[in-house]
Amino acid sequence: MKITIDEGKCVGAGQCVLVAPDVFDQRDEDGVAVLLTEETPEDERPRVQEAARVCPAAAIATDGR
Amino acid sequence: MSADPSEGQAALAYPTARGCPFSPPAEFSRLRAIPGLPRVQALEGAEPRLITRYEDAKTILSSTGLSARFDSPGFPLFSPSDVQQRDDRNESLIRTDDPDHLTQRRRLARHFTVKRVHALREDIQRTVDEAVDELLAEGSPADLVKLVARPIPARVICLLLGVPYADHAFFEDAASRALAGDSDPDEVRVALGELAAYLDALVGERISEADGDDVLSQLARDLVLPGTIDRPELVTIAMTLLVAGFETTGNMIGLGTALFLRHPAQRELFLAGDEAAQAEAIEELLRYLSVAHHPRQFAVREEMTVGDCPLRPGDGVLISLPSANRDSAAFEDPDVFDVRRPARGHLAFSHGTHQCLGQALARLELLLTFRTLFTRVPTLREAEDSGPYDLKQHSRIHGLNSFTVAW
Ligand code: HEM
Ligand code: SF4
Repeated sequence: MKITIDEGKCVGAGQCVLVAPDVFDQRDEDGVAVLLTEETPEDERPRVQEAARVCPAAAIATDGR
Repeated sequence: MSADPSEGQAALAYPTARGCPFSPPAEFSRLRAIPGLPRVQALEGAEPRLITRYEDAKTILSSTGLSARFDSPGFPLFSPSDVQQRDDRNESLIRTDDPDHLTQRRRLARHFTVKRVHALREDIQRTVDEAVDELLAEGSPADLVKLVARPIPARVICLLLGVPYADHAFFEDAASRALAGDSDPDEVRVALGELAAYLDALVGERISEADGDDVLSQLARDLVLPGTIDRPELVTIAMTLLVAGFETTGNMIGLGTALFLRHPAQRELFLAGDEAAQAEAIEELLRYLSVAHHPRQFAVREEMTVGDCPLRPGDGVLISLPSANRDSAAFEDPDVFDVRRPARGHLAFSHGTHQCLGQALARLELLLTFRTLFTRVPTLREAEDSGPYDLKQHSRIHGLNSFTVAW
């Protein structure tokens, strides 16, 4: 599945890492969220959507569906 | 622009009378059901809008059209301490706006990532174990607030700031007098002064040595030495971390223990869960208690519509996080404490750009504290003659002054 993180918006709260630890990580320099792998398997979708829902900065977007 | 459903209604008094000590004033549930955004009475004649519903709170907290600065036109002053903070020109992170705010926040964020916090896990566990040792050594009955709820967050902040062990007792005592309860304003001022002087000296040491691996030493090395920030700014950061992390976490521990003891079945469910289930239970505890009950305060700086109400630049808004977290439109049977419900997405840490920076740390402290306390002291209960809860009356953070437990 396709995920985009808006780095300009991310406030580094780390909720995405708590919800989907196999998908998201935080950069050491400033806590901004990054994707752990280029390709995220489809079965992570529910967790990624949950991360997008709880993200305080609305910084996570996913492809439709 | 649409009509204002609350047009012409008189400003209300902000609801403060709690029935249940664990629940927000019942008045909020009445207000959530009324369309529009009521006006409430604030200081200096202002009548800001009050936001009580989950969706409205989330929408407005996510918007870029708010200002958290005391000096923004329309910023609603709500309690006497606001007036004092405005007049003192409080420059903490919480009262700055993007883009400056995000620049400052990112300098700190690296120290509060999920990874960094989890690297502290053993240290936090040791801190929790020591506090429980001290509770047991005191003997039953004992004050849980004094022996567990205050020392744990105080010592974790000591770890972050690299406060030497020999100074822990002073630090804990001064922080308790300054921040932890219903103390006399003069005593608070004295204690805050002692802390500020202490932190200033500590920052001075960190700048001259700058070789430690605590957060303060790292900030001194990364920010003060290259000239990005100066010494007073680092003292302000240290104070912000102390103020933001001490009473919040301490009150969650005190009140959370009281709540679990009133709901033994929920405590059993919590203890029986694996780490993931326990983490979800902590979310429910955060939602249910929502200790940051003093409203979030903002001035509107861009036109927007929230709860069908048009808001204009210069309007003030107050947002009740406890009310939003008890909204039945967002949480089924919101007044039921149920550790198995999906509570994530609650607003106990607020939402948007100012959402709690220390949340990963707070979550871990709470998880390890409740797990350790209830495992090591399985017969823990409210002391027989403990009487009504000793609730803080005037605090910005809801909690207990003391809580006598037995085992
Ligand atoms: C359960 C415990 C905690 C609760 C309920 C809590 C709650 C909150 C809330 C509601 C805010 C938003 C403030 C506002 O908009 O006015 C906030 C901000 C903040 N919190 Fe926490 N907090 C907790 C623990 C901590 C800890 C342990 C730390 C760090 C040591 C911390 C550091 C901060 C900081 C630095 C901010 C300001 C963030 C910003 O303005 O960007 N908090 N917290
Ligand atoms: S939850 Fe959102 S704001 Fe927080 S780290 Fe992840 S992307 Fe950034």
